[in-house]
Amino acid sequence: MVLLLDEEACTGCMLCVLGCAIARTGEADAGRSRIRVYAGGEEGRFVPLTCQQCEEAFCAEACPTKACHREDETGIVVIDEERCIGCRTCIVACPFGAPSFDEVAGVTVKCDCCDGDPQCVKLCEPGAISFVAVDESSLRKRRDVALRRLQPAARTRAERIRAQEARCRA
Amino acid sequence: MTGRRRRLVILGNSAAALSAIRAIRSRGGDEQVTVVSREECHAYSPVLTTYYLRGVVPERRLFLCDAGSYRDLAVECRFGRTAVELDAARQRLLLDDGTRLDYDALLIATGAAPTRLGGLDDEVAGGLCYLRTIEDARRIRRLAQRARHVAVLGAGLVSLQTAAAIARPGVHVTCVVGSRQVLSQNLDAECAAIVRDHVVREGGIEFLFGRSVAMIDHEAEGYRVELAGGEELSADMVVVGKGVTPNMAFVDPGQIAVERGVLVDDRLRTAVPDVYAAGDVAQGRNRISGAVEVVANWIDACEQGRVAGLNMAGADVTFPGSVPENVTTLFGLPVASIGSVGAGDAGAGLTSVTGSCPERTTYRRLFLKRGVPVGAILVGDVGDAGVVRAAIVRAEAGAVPVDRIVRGPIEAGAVLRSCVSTSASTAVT
Ligand SMILES: Cc1cc2nc3c(=O)[nH]c(=O)nc-3n(C[C@H](O)[C@H](O)[C@H](O)COP(=O)(O)OP(=O)(O)OC[C@H]3O[C@@H](n4cnc5c(N)ncnc54)[C@H](O)[C@@H]3O)c2cc1C
Ligand code: SF4
Ligand code: SF4
Repeated sequence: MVLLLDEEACTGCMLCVLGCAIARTGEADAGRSRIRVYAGGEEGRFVPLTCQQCEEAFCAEACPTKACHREDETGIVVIDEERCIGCRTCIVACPFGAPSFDEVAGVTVKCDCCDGDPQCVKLCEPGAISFVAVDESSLRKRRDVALRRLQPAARTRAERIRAQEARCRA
Repeated sequence: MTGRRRRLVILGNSAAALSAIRAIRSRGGDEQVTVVSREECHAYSPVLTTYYLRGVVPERRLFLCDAGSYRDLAVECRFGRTAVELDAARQRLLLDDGTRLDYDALLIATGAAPTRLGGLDDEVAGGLCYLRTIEDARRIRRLAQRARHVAVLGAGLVSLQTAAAIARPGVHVTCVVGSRQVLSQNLDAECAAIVRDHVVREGGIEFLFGRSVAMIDHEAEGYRVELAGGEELSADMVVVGKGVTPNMAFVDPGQIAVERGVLVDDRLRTAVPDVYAAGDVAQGRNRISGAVEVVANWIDACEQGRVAGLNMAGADVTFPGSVPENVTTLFGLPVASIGSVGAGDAGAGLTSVTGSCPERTTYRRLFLKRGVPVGAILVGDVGDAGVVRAAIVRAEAGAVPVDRIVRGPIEAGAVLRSCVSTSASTAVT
């Protein structure tokens, strides 16, 4: 399962941002939220962003403590706050700025889909956030589009590997 | 093909090696994998050793693997064994206990070791501390408990973190630095001054810049460090941080090309087809500058190991190149450096744009080459380091909102937007 964010539908109300902070820290401190909404400047558009649950999760690969890892059962990339030493390596690794250092907790945190019951989804009136199964075919396409816009190289590499692996299997 | 399983040998048991093994297993083949390491213990993270010194991480938390991990990965372990000779022509590796391992493909993931200080008498040399392995860390921790005056030679990342870990009330730490600044491999002078001021203020660490060590001698309880200009200092413990040297003594340069490290192509192959290299021992292409150099960091070792492992297991995957990057926190001040930042000998032809707040608690500098961002230094707030990294890696002229980035932390959404508008405007023209 992963959170699907629809920037066309987002109205920039920021309820998800505050809701996340309240649910996860008990305080309405937007700075500690694990979902962000960028108010897109000139065009007046909004871009909600949180962890994309990358197939090749660079954050998890790079984490020197393995606090950041993919859970076997759910396939969701999470940070184990007990193990995290706050070295910020995952922050450097993630192209989406998803992990953030929580000054109060002294560890790095990121969206972990609230143990399968993401709070932001319920708060988003316009339905810009949905929690969908990973195998939904549109999902990969969407993430690839996001990645291409952010980091074409990463996408091409991922695609190349996939294509190469398909060729090897054939 | 008859049924003999391919034999893969992984030399090393750290970042690059583990990523390679996982990648090999992810392809589901039935290769016979043997992992060799000169250390007796299970894999651990050298990155964490300074956290261990500070007492933030207990020793058991340094480990990345236990016996079960190797069993799950179905690898045969040869720990406590050092590779002494690699005969690439015969595809055979010789270990220090006389064992010979024949292989079909081999990965050199032996990393690097601290560069030793030369010209000292054996007894003095044996007493100096270096930090790389878990054994080094245990020793420093033991000695630091009794130390009152500690001399740290060098002010690179490892030296500064070690100094920061040791310094506490009653323990005086002096860093003797050859250059005029801290972190000369990672930061420009202006930013280094901010970091230095912070470390002096918060940690009480003393710096002696522009000094080289002439001699170290034994003295009553400890050491007398003599500096080139005639100055002297006494220390009951000396920690040396003068960079690292790749572990490649077992490689025959006549068979496998080496320079500063083992040379690799974009598939992590060495000059010999069935021998691969990854991590701090490998010298490959820098994705940003295009130079062929050793880029030594944890993230890169993992990425290279993964690609090498996939290729060893029969895939054909290319590595896009290394990105120099480092993030560290010194007395609460986070510092990130990404790409080409004009440090060392890579400064030629770079221009930069700087932004900093008046109190100098945050500092951001972007480096450009012919108008294209190639590097960044972020101090104070590094929350957008990954977004900036992605922007630099992607960098096409005009696609990166340089002015926004130096003004303050940027959100991924802003980069997404700017990309969209850039591609839109490109489409129009
Ligand atoms: C104190 C400290 C802090 C660091 N902090 C950071 C950080 O914050 N961020 C970052 O990106 N990087 C950091 N690094 C660097 C990082 O640890 C290295 O880049 C990384 O460990 C490289 O991994 P590797 O697999 O290439 O080699 P290594 O970790 O060096 O491992 C080499 C392996 O090879 C084995 N070996 C060596 N020679 C032989 C031989 N002849 N025969 C058999 N086995 C052999 C060793 O036993 C070991 O298992 C830090 C390093 C130190 C020491
Ligand atoms: S934190 Fe970043 S790199 Fe990691 S899975 Fe999420 S989006 Fe991908
Ligand atoms: S900050 Fe925590 S989760 Fe992120 S890389 Fe470091 S230890 Fe891992």
